[in-house]
Amino acid sequence: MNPWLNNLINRAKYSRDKNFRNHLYIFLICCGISLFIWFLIKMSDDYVGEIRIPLKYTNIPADKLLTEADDEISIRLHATGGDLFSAKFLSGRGTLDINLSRMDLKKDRYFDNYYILSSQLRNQLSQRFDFAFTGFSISPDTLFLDFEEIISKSIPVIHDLEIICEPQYQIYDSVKIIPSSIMVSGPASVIDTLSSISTVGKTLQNLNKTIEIRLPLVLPFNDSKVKFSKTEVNAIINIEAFTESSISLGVNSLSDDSGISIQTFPEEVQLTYRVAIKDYQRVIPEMFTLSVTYDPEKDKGKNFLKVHIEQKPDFVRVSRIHPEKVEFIIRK
Amino acid sequence: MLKVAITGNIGTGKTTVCKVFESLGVNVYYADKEAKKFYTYPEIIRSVKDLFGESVFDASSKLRAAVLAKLAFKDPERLKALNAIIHPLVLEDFLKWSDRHAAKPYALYESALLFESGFIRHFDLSILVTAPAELALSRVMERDKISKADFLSRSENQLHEDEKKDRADYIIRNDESLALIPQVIDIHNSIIS
Repeated sequence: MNPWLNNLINRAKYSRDKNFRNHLYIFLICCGISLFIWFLIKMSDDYVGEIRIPLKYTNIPADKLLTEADDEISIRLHATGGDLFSAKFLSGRGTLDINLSRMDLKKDRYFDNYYILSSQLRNQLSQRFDFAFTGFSISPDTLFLDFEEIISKSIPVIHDLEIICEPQYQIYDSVKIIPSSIMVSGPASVIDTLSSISTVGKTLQNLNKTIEIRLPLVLPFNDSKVKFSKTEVNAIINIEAFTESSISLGVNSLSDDSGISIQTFPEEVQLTYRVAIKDYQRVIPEMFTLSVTYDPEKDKGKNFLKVHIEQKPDFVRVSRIHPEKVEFIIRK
Repeated sequence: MLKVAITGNIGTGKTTVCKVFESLGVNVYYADKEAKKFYTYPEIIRSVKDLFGESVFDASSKLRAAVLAKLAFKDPERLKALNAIIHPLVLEDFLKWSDRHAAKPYALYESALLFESGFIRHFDLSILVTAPAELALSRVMERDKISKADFLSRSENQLHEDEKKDRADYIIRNDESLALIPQVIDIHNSIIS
């Protein structure tokens, strides 16, 4: 630092010379007033200035998502320094709303995007400045906008629960998810990749009664453009006490060859099943159909045919069939 | 006409084997099934009540088979006495029945206690159906809805399978791994030849 200036600062800081300090203050105040007057004189001169204005797009078509667009424009104009100062740092700092519903939105055939000519904004911008100006120009002269189609679809909610019941207890039917599906909307390129949505994983142990729990969904995208109609669902896990029972059932014989009939040995098999105690009385043999199928080509020379369950009540879970395979004779 | 007895311990699958014989045109007399009709005869009802008490018949004198089975299999002496009442009637009925089917080369008599009752002497040939004990147990428990204890109680009144094997003319293995039908056809061909 200049030794003279250094000396002056030290004297101002540490000197006990009150007279010197008073002179210094008066000097500084006069300097400030001079600068201010100089500034006012300069502000009345004409200048070419550039004002940057942030853009905000409104009334975007409901079926589209604006993915990319110019976010500011630059205005060049010729005006007094005071007006330019005011426009740049005071009145001109607010965003400019571009109402797309009122704009002449053109489509670029080559790049498959949209654009607006900045000249459309001229009136809107002019009204922003309440002072006389000339040489008005806007840059860029074209605002490009990339849109993506917004689509909505319903996707099923899949739970990620591990359910462990107490002995003798089981889930009565499948876990009920309410709602079973949710609506998701967003850019087509994102939504098309979604086929289902999962709940958070959870293990429930030692269940012996029906419970209802809330489960948050695992949202696959941390993207504000993708909207989910729900972020959590209810799960109802219907638990019932089960018992095991068995029933003797005749075996139907089926064959592709209508010219033959099949007789099985034994003619009846034992079907062992698990059923909720509340449904135990509902089970009747007529609810079940067991069969063996004889394929003249595939089963030729075989001694046994496997017994299949053709029909059974939904509320019954088959544990085993005994015997699983039966012998047979073919009658022509 | 030959009189052929088919027997086997409880749960060995005698009825299934008999169904195969029936499919070959052989007439089968099911002793246990036919025996039930004798429990409607007044003198038989009276004798059975004397042995086991009133509880084995309901108010309309219909046999309560499960109650009778439970009481009979628990008491070998009373079971023997019951068999002494019923078996001669069944045998006599079979003989009359077989006369009606005399045109056939042979007829089958199905009963679980042929060797035990000594009735085997009334037959020309005997067929024994065998099955592994575990398989027989699971079949009976599922079919008759009885406990393992009840199964063992019923089995106590039967001769051991090895002893029956020595005395039977034919043996059919019904263990669900060896096909029954070829075994039955072999025996059938052997008898009619």
